[in-house]
Amino acid sequence: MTDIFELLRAANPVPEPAPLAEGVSAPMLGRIGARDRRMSLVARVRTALTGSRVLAIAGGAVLLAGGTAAAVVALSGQPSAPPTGSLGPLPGVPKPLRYQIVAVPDLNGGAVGWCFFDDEQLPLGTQGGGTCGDVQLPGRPIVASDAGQGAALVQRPRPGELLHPGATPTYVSYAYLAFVTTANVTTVRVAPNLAIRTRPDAQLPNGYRIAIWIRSHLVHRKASSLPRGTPRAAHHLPPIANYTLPNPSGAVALNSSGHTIGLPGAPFAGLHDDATFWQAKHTSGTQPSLHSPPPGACEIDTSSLRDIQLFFGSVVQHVHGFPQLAGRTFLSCAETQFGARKGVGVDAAILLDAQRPGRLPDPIADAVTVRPGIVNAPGSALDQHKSLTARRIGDAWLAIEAGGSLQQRIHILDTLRACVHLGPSPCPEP
Amino acid sequence: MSAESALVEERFRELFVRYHADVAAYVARRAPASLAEEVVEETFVVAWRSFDRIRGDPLPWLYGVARRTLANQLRGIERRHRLIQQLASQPQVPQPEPLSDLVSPSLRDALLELSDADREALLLIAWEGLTPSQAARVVGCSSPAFRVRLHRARRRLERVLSLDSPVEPRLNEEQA
Repeated sequence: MTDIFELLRAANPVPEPAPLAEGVSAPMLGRIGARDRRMSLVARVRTALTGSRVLAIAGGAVLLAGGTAAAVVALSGQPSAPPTGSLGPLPGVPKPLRYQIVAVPDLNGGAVGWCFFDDEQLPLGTQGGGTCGDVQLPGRPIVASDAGQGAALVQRPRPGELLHPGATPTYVSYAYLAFVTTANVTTVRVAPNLAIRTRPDAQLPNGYRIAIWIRSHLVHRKASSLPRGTPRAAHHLPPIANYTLPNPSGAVALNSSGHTIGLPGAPFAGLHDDATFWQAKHTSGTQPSLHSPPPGACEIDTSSLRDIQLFFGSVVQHVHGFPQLAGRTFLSCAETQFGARKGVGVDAAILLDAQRPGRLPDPIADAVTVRPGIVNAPGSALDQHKSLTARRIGDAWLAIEAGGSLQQRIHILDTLRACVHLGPSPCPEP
Repeated sequence: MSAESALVEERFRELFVRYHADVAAYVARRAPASLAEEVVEETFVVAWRSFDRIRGDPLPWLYGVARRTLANQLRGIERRHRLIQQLASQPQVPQPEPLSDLVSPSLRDALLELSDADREALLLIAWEGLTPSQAARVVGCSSPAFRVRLHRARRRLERVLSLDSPVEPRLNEEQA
């Protein structure tokens, strides 16, 4: 398989910037100034309306599915769905559909904290999303939150079926909310009519708990219900059911006495160390000029792995600690993504203790020792079976996220060379 | 006009001259030529009104505005089309299709199977030549979150393209 970016670049319909003709651009510039004066009042009205609408949604949040209010919920809270579970049961869907929410250290170079991914197995493939950069801050018991929805066809359509006016294809639609909290949170109140009781989970670090709400149902859409002239491509876009999800940033944490603790929501802390980005391939002048990993505080040397292709990565030049963090987590000091000729292979990173780099970092949650000094944590079984496997290198972890077998990942860890140098001079170049 | 406002206008003119070609190309890669002029103009109207709030590299900021403007235009066309149908049962009104100029139908279909967010993540890197940090500014998320989105979008596109002959992700033989 050709590298996907090469494929896309080759198909770029406008490979170079396309200046407007002088006869177009000069009058346009004149109109812009004139229109600004006309538009300023309209803009103010529009802003005010938008603001009040956002408040209305956040204040009176309800959960709707297919236009009907869903039956929820006692204030004491409904139990959290498990991190791995089933979507459904859904009548007429031949095989059980699953979802999975996993927590992994954020491997992006310079990043601090965790990523929380969701994967939903739908009849024709897996969908998913996630958040990254989640950390525990003082007074903020909700560490991470995520919300999303999606849909897909139940069966692969026959050629032209979706365009036939009489067709009524069936879709699976789903929506979810997920929260990760500190250990003292027993309930997350998301909206006046929705509270979710948290549950412990072995994959989470620091004794964190998780609260999940997930729903799915079938949607039928007649092809004839789409306006005539709807582009052919739009017939292939699945209809997402009419869920109105409450804004997860307004959620509050409750303790076992039912009292609110800390501040609401999971703020994005945006903590990171500056990292130098490099990319192995490029076609544009705006790409970085670095095409291989530069020297830095941490380095990952892939030269001992034969017949691989480097993709891109980041290297932190100078490591800083983040002592303001309330819970322990990792800082990714360098990251390199590479792979074999077929498919995307490996994401490798060096993880330090984020609060005090140079201190022995925490164990990787939910990981088991597979060989002295090497641990393995299962990833989402729904996402190409990628796992996180890591080797201790001094006061750091050399971690890889990859598919393949455990033996393959251990072989990569054994072969990769890594360097951590937290002193004033960077690592020597490989 | 005060000296200060003349200076601001001059700076805006420089911005327009320097970047309008990039913005025009961004729009042309995603919409028919008939829309491009209008979207470019709307983008720079917003830039002019927000000129004092543009910080750092303006190109990702401009792409972000162009992206939202384009989405609004397409929604407006769809609304107008529906209205025309309701009022007069008009015959087909041509609508712009995204990626209509893409040379490879199979790649176009594959891209259209992705979510808007996934597709945009890939195209900002491959077509606009942005770094992930710049592209994150365009779509309004953090750089780490964008990197995750990009990583996943690439996997998904690869998966869609290889639907007929699935290729398991694997490591090379030397590593096995």
